[in-house]
Amino acid sequence: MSGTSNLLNWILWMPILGVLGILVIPKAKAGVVRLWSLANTFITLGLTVKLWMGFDNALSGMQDAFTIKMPWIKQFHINYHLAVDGISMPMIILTSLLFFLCVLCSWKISKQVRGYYALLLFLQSAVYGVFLSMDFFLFYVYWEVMLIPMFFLIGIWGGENREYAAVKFFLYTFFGSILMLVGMIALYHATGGEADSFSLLALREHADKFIGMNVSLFGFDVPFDKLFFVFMFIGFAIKVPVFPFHTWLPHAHVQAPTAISVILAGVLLKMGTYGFLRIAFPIFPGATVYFSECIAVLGLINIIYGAFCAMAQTDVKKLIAYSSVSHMGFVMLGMAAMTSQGLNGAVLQMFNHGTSTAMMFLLIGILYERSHHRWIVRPDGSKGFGGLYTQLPVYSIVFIIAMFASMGLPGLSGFISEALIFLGIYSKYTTMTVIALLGLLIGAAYLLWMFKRMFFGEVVEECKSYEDMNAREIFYMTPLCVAVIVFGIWPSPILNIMKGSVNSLVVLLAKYQ
Amino acid sequence: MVSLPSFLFVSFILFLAGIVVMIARKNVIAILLGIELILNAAALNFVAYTRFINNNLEGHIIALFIIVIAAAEAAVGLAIVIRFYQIRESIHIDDATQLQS
Amino acid sequence: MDYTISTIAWIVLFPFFAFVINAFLARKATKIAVIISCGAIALSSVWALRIFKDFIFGNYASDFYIRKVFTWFDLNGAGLSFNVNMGIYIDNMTAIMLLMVTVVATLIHIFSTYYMKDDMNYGRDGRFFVYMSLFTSAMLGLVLSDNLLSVFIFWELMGFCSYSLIGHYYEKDGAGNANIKAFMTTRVGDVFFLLGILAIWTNIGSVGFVEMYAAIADGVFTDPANNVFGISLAAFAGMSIFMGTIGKSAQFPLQVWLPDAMYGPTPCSALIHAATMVAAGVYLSLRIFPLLDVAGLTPLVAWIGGITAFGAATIALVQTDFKAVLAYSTISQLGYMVLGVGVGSYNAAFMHLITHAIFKACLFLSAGSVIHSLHDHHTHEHVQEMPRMGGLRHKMKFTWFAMWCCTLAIAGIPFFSGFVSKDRILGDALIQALHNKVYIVPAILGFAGALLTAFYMCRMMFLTFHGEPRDKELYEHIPEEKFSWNRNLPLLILAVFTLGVWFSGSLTGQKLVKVASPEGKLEWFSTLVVKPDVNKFKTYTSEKWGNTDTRVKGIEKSHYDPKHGMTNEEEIHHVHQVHVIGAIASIFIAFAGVFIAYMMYIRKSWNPGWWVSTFSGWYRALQNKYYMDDLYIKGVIQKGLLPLNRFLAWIDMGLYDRYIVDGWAGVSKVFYTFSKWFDDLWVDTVMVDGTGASVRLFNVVLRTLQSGKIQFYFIMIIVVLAGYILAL
Repeated sequence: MSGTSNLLNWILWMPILGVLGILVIPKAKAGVVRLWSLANTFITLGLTVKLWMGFDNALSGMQDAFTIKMPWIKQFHINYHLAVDGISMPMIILTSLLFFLCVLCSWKISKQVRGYYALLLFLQSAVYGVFLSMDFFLFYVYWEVMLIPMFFLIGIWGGENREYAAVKFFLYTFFGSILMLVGMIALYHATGGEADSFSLLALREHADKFIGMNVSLFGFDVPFDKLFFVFMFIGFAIKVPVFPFHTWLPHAHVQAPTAISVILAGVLLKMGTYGFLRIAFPIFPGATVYFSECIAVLGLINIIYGAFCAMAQTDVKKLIAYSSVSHMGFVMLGMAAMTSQGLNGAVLQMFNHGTSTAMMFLLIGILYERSHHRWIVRPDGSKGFGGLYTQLPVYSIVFIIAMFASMGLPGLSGFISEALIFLGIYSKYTTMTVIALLGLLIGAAYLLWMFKRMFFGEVVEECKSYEDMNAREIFYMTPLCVAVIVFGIWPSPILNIMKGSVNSLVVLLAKYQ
Repeated sequence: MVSLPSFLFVSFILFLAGIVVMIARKNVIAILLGIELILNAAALNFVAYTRFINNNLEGHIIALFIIVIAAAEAAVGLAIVIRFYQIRESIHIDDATQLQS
Repeated sequence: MDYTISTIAWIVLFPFFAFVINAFLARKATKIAVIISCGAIALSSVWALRIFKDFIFGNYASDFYIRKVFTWFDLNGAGLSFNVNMGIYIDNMTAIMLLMVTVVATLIHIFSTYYMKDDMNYGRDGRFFVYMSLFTSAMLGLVLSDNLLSVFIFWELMGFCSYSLIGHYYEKDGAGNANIKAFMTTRVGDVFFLLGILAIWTNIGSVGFVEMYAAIADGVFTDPANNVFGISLAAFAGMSIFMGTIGKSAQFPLQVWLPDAMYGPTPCSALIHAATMVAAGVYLSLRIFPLLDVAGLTPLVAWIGGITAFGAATIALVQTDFKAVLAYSTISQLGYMVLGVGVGSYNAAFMHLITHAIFKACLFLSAGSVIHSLHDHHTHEHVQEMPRMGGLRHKMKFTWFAMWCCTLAIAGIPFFSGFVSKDRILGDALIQALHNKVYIVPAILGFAGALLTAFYMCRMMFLTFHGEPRDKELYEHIPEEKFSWNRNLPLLILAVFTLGVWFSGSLTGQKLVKVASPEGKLEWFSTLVVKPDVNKFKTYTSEKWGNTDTRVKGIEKSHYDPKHGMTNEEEIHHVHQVHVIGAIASIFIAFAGVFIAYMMYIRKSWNPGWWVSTFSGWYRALQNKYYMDDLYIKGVIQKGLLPLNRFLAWIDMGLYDRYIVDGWAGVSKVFYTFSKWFDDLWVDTVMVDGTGASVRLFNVVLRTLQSGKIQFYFIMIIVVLAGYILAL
């Protein structure tokens, strides 16, 4: 069933080519390394655009033209199976775009430039692997591989407390991965270890079989699908992160360098929700429906709790980290709705949150390069920033766009996805909708309050030396600004990609309700 | 007629001279020369035995091999000596005790 | 005429494109940006005039409307379908609104070129005009919207613009406080608005006004099967959406933001308070009037309107800030409009919206004209405090004249526009009060508010323009006002339209502007603006963009029904009588207010200080705005929200993360301490190190042998070889 195009292979391995290239560039030539990485990510971006051009919106399943399938470990029926559909396509676009911008935004990194860019490109390849793999084993391999560059990127290039954050991130995610591994092996045995036992597409066909099965756990008979749904759920929930597995996120964000924060919030968090949509939901539809209320409640807690916590933060990066928790709650809520509007809204929110939160983190990174601190209010109670509006006019405008996109102002991208999610969830859980709307309110409150404290008023003495955004910074903020505005006014380009695949998932889930 | 024992005797003398040079001299190049002597003693033995006992060409061939190996060994040895000299500014054998734990 | 995208959408698109272009131009080419901004809105008003002409003077029936839709985006696929439609909806009300918004906005733009000139010259860029363009464009979009979702979108955009405009003087901390307050308070209403939209969308599958009216006619909203939380869908959705109005139109209890919105430059206050933002709320409540009606929410609406109208008027009594008086008068007048909606006085409420927009825009621009001239040379700030004014009429005649026209209009003096509209609202309130006890309090509050309005507006005028200048030094520095096109012309044009004749049809309310109608002698406003009759919307089929309208254009104009649906001759007579009584009462009240102000501030026969000292508790309460700001900010936010946030954040990081998550480190520490002990002592020391110790023995021996001296090794080799040979 291999398709005619090798494009996915190119996209997946192009960053690895970049890594190999970096290895032969001499250490002293940091500039060449940067340019090489930039060129590499740009080519990948170009390939992604080509993929987008060739993408057939009418198909609701996998894009056969791009599918690549060949045996990898024949004894265990593990295949090297790459494919793309409407759910992964927006994520691929997001990944390509953000990595390109991240190469630009880490231009000023001077500590071990070669290692940094090599790890960054390596990470990119691993992320593509997660989004493109249609074989569970391959997926798992990439899921784990991705941790390694992340660990080093946070642990070497991070802030003062970087080792703690890196270890915490690694252990947390690894704990989830192990549960997922158990689930994967259980699925392999449950299907009899035959051909395609690891294929995510073939496993869907067995969904009905899993519902009736029982599995013995510590002497108790437990329904197979519910148990392993919970396992998978925890594995993915840690990545999202869903309350109560969210505490690694603020640490990791605060310690990580700018580009890594961008990737973490923009792409890696979406891998969790992507995992739900690709693995947990279609393979265990019965359990999904059974637990949908729990998912909705967890999403709701994320929204409200994340927003409340964000409001209390005095570190601006931590504030945005908690806002990510809150916004990913909307995605969870939309997925729990299991209606066309809710799920489409959730996937769109994944994309939109990727762009808007990336903007926020990039902007904070730009500010951090000038100030070397991130306190809105310092621990001693003095103002960390003040009067930035006067000092940095262009920066402020871009910040306003990012901020309002993040809080879901109509006309910017966040609104459409949030409105769709609310519309999806309203018909099922009216009370939750009312409470979730409170999240919108708090969401606006903490962002505006932060903005007020940092940007309004007289210019604080130490802020007077800050320079406005330079050409490079404006250049890498522009694509995101355009994306946020254009997809806010005209969301169809993204929605058209996803709606077929997402709706077919909705139809699948509807059978079990 | 020169007989086998006389060849062996010469070879023995050469061998002993080589051993003595290797043990007694502290100059690395001298030690290399000592090794050459030992190799040549061995080569002489091969030629002598093959001439007086088998009367074929096997010993001669091996002697040729020994010469080649000796040349290669001298090249490698001298290269090591030069590097050693560059690092330590000495070719005194007792300076090369790094491998001692 | 052929209404297509080119004829309608351009109204919105002109200012919108001006916004887009100016977003890039404003920093460098400020002058060009200003010209583009003003030109765009002027073009819009030409377009609006065209639509106005077609609708008001054309041969359309009064309930005629045009609606065109297009699909914004859809979620069709895999057998599921869901479309999100956007579109335009134009009826007479829209046409009138469009003209009002564009004309008022144009005049405000022109005035801004005067007012903001210094601001732009002092190094600040032209971003003010950028936001103004977006603001007007959003308002026009809202007016043209055919559905609640697009109303919401433009509604929020206006919220964003008001946020930016109020925060225009961003170097001041107060601007940051004011705009965050404005945005968040309206956002409280908006969130409920969104909830209402969701409720309607989910239940009738569309958010179009037309579909909504049809569903009301079909009884979907009152069907008990659709109840939400035990109340009917109509009440739930209606109340939620009306919360949006409460937020946006600054009704009780969310009125707190509007006075603070004065922090922005005065022309933007004019725009927010007159033509756009606050008007949008009332406009929305008029659009959902059938819903409020069917839900039985009108008494609640009337109460809120009455409380707001009266409460804000009382606060306005004690304000000393020039603009604050106007701000509270805005809240109060909005209260009248909402009261009008509540008592079912549909077209009077709408008329008051229009008349208020005009005279309030004029008042604010006049205030801007005054404030701009009053430049304090010590602090380099504009003076807004009335105690430092007085006697200004000698220095600025045009402003004085324009402002008096507006004051008379807002006070409800006959022959001025405010009288025409407010009187009708009060008359209807009186009728409702006589029939239904629920309405008695709102009606009384309405009349009492009218007295206060006349009083505080005249007080403001007397304190500002009349009497002796109280701050002589300031007075000396005021330049003599000379007529200039961008300062005075907008004021005078607006002042002309404060005359009642434009709205009522004649001085007595009849016959001046003839509209095509069978009788040919009715007031055009009452004739053309009618309550939507939901039953007529049942047979509607939607039209796509670009289609030419093929419907038969009826010419029948219905008219304002002074009988309020009553057929009994006696009752009609009764209604008429009540109206007359109401009119006389409000005339009397208006003059009474003016008279009291005159006695207090011109004749100084009555001492306002007596009132202050007698009712000192009330005075303090009024000065503190009934402590509502304190309640929200100090109570709800500082005592409730922020401690809650800190508590949750502490739970999250201080408790949950530190003990429960990182606590696993403790658990594993116990394990590893034990296993370390076991490992160290038994496995490592005894078993592993035991082996090691024995090895170490040999090690000592062998170490000495391994000297590193190669010649020693040779000797060893020879010795061993020799020994071996010997052993053989």
